[in-house]
Amino acid sequence: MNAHVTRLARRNRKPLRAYLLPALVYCLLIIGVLIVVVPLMWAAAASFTPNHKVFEYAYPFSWRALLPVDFTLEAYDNIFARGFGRSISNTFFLAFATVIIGGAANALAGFAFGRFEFRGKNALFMIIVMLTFLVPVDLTAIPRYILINNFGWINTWQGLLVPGLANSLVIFLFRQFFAEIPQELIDAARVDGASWLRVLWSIVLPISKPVLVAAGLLMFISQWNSFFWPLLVAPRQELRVVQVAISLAVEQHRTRWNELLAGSMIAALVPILLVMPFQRYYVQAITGTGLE
Amino acid sequence: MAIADRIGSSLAAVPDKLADEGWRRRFLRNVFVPWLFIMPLLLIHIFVVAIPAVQGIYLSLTDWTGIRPGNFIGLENYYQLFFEDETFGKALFNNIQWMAFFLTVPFILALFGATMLSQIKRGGMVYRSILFIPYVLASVVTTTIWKNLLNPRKGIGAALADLGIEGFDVAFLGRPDSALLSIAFIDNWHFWGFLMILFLAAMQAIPPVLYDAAKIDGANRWQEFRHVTMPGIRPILLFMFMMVAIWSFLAFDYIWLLTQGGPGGASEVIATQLYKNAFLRFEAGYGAAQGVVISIFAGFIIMIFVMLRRRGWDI
Repeated sequence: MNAHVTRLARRNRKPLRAYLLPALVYCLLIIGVLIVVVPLMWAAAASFTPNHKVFEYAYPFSWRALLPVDFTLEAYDNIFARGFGRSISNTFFLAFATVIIGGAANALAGFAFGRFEFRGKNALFMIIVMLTFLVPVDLTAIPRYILINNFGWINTWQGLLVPGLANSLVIFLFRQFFAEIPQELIDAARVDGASWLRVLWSIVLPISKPVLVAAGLLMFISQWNSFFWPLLVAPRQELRVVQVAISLAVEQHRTRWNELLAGSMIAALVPILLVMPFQRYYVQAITGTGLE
Repeated sequence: MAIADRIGSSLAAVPDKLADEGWRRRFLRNVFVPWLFIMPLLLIHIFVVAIPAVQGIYLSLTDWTGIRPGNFIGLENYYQLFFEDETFGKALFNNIQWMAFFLTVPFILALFGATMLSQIKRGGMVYRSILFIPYVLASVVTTTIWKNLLNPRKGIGAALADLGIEGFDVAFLGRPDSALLSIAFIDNWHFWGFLMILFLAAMQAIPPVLYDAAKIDGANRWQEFRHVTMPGIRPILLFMFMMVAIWSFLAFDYIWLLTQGGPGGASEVIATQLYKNAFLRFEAGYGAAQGVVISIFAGFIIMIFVMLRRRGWDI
């Protein structure tokens, strides 16, 4: 109350300053937003433009550079004709498989770490999390490649899939969430004779939607965006994922700008559409684990 | 409703049931079931992380080419790395420059952005969402767009030159003195929104009462930031300092996609050298040694933070 009064008093004394500061804040924020949006708008507009006109409105610069004035679907037609559709469905399949299998493995382990007391629990948890957090991909990429090769998994779905399942952020999330579920809820089901798997499936999971959404998003997007490992382990065209398809096109067709940008737009749209509605969960997931 | 009823009716029965748990049930509950639940994930981690890590350390002690099993040569790869290979020193220096950039620029931007976003009343969610977008874009997407924008004859530079602002129509990515900084700029375009969101979430968790108290005490905006906001976001700030310092030694994808370490090694970092040694030059043992060195640096940074924490720092 007191603070409110002093704030009012100050505003009455310095009306100009009280308006100037918010105005400045909004100006700076808008500049920040433009730095993000202009490149994306230009890329989106260019993807709907005939290739020879992609840079036409860049200099002299005009608003036309940010809107598809000479609208055409030529670029999209071309990339789909060269098999980009296959890459999209491959990546969707891979990302969904990662979410389901990785989600199951991490939820099971998260439940065990969050709800059971057993010898070596904390040490084991630290080792699992530390290993993925701290052992750089660089150290493991070469031997992992050999291992996958020894299994005969080069150019297979398994080879693409398995490394994406180990995500320490996700197991962190599950453990934390499951640990906070009231014990009575679980005891009640146990007394009724439910198995632990049953407890997890019909008592715990239905009330765990926030964590399921967050974990699913994290895994889906990181698999959708993964590039380095698929490039290494699955060079065959039938298994090509979106990011690899774009990066190869950048090398092979470097002057078909509108097509490269069309591919990029599709690759960008999926995570944006997924994160926007669920941003709250996503941010909570990251901050929740980051602060631990 | 149904669940609540069930809790009520069965709570009374709990003690009796737990009391006659035999050793079998205890074994099931304390050993068998937990390990059964953990097993799938444990196997994945052993397979994907643990075995490759150990094998990577072993390979770093061999002269393995990547095709045929190599000979054990002890620490020779490491000797070569630190005392003979001049390009390694240069790459390491680039990593340190990269770290200096990412421990300052995105942190300042993010603190600035989060402070501003926490003050506005209208449209905060919209700004926040838009500023966060670049973080969810793949490196391939971001680099494809920015490669075009930084094209000296067609991109932003050309547009600015046409408006009479000279000096930006140069091949930023193709010149030794600007290549690394340009890549860092692009990576930062993608990254800083993530930091900002983290800081913003931490700021919003600070009780408003503290700000009111500061105002009553007559604190100005800077003092408010210094004595209320900073202590509130300190844990996440320091944690991200550590993570960014570690990530700086792992920097790879943006550099690889934009310049592959060029021109003339100007943007070469340890990870790009490693990739070339392992997959292009058939010196996989040597590359593995570089991977171990990166891990040691990462471990070293963690040790520093753990020690600071032991000394009573609130991290």
